Amino acid sequence: MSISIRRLILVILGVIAGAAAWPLIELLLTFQRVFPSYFSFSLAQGIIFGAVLGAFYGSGEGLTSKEKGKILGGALTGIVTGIAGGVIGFLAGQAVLFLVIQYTFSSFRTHQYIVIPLARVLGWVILGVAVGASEGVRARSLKKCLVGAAGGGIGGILGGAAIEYLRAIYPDLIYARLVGFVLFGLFVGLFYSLLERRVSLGVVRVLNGGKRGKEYSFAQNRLSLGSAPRNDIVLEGYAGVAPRHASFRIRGKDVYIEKESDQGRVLVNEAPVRKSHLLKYEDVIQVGSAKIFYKTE
Amino acid sequence: MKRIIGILLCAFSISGILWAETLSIAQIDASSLLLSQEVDLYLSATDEGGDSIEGLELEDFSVFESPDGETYEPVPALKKLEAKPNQQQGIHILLLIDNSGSMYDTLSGAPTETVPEMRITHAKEAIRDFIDSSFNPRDVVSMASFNTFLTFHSEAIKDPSALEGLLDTIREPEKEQAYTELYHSLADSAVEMAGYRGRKVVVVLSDGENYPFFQHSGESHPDYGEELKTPEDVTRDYQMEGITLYAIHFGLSRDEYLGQIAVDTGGTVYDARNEEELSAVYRDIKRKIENEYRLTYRAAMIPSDRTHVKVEYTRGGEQVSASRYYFTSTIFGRPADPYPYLILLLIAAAVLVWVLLLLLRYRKLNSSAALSVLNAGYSTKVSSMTIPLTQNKTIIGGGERADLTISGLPSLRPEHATIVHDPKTGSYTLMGDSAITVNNRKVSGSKKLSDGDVVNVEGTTIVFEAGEETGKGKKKK
Repeated sequence: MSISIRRLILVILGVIAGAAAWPLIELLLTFQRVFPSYFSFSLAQGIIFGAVLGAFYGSGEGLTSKEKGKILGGALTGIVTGIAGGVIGFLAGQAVLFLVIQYTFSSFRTHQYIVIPLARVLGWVILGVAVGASEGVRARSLKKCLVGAAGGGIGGILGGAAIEYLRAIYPDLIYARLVGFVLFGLFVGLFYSLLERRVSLGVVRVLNGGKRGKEYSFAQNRLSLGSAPRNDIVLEGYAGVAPRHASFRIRGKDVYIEKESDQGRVLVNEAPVRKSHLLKYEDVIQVGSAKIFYKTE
Repeated sequence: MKRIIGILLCAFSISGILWAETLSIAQIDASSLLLSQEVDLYLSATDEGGDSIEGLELEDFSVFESPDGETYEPVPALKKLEAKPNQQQGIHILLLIDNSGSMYDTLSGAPTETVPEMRITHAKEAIRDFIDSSFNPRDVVSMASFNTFLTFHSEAIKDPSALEGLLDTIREPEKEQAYTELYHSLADSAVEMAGYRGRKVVVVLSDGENYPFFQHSGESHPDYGEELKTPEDVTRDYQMEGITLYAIHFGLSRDEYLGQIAVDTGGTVYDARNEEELSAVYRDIKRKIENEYRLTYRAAMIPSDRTHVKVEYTRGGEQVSASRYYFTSTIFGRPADPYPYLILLLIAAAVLVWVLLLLLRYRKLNSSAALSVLNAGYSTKVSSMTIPLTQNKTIIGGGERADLTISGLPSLRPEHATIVHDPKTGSYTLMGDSAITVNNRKVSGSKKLSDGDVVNVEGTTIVFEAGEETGKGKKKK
């Protein structure tokens, strides 16, 4: 799968995540009176919304790579980080609505047209940041976290603004909230993808075997290769590949391939690599029997 | 003092407002709602004579909430009642003074050129007396006057005595400035006060009724244009900003609606006929604010963008109540009513799309060997993105007869490279010269290809795919 299709799938995941979260949130809202306080009510909203979005986004990597372990692990990590983001986002947003407004701006006019929408959008941004960062958390990559957070944040701004704008125009139209949710999911997925592309130093494409055609973006400082499922590029089914065979590493604007195992060989353009090798575009890297092509996006 | 206030209140002309005990919600503080679920009400209770009622207990009160102001329900719990809470946090008082032409007549309404006899002079003296009185160090006072225009004479200052000198900056207006933009000035004062925190009060002194420039001159107002404010506009602004209006009629005529605005915003309306009565009124207002109660209660969880609150107390068999609203908007807003259960199908639809994405196969491995173009070179076109290697000899070149034609490159020969298949061994060999690279290495003569090799022909990148049969040989057994 090319990187473009992978990103398109992330956007689709965002859309269906928003669509799936909407009925649950609508259901929760009908139980507002059951909650003892606005605090617990906000917590519940954050947990449900964050968990649903986190599950869909988190499963994205595994879904596109067709690796069952990553689907489940990513979804679980996504749920955890999504819940964290949802809780923080909702409490922050609700706090701004109830608390900060009262202590900073005391004008209702400012509330109605600026502060309340901004406060809500702030909540969406925090939620988007947390959900966007979830894949980075799963991959244990700070850079990927930051890319995801920034993409999710921008998506959160636009998606959150869409929700607020639609609510303002159609306050009694229930489907306005659905459209808002879907746009939120779409924008988070879209801007995550766009930003990933912008910071990426290129992609690597597997040329042969079971992973033929699969592309991976350099949106993180390290991409590990090996036959074990914990690797970023899982080369299962290839001859001569060690569980943790090698890694692509970013140093500044340079990409290196580094050997991490003495068991197998690493070749770049058919020449053996002893420890580390600086890559240039169109280099062909061979890890065991797997061939990988380094190219621009 | 009490005798004077009693006289003033008895002289009040809006029947039914001050002849009984009154309770007003001067302000609602919901800033602790999220963390503690608590709401503070600032209450002002006065008896028949207009004096603050002291000694009320928590048990005297009942609090109810409603989403629509009609159907009320008791709140879960009353937490505490605190007397004189403003001593701790201070008050912001804006003194708003009528500076229209009639304020320069005598108290009996006769024109005069003698300054000490002018109504404005008596008003200034009463204000001097008021600002000389003791203030809480946390209190702040500001001052403004109005006629055709609203003029602020000071920012909020902590030392009210500093206003004394500023009183002299209130001067008689020119004829075209002598209109009474009472409602516009009240509304603009609310905007000015909106930026401040804590307990906010506007005390307006007026000797007449709202007399807008546009309505009576027929010309557009320089600031307000043709916009006219209504009493309802003013009341709504004050309620929304949490400001209490106290109104003083100081003259022979009075605005018909000013008293109701004051009452609806949690304040009181007074009549004053001379300087002594006016001084007493200012002091009474201050005392009323100082004697407010703060009632803290646990709020209900009512789905509504704004929640109406009604507070009642019973004293001597008489029940008095007051109501206002505060904002309880949540991030997602109000629930759909009734809940459309069919929308739950969307969850199933989303999961279905997710499963389809999971089942999607993006690319099938070619069963036979093939060349797959990864990138066409700059300003070039290729005849096909994938060609099967079904012949023993496959030509790549710039000519039309080539099996894979790369056009747009004059340097490319008609038969630039050839891939030769050996059916006996099943191998594929690239024949070409140094203008071709395989795996980023120049080819000299010939090069046997293996699955996944990358061939570059003048910038066009082509991948050799050995096909399922040959490719299987590469996989781990």
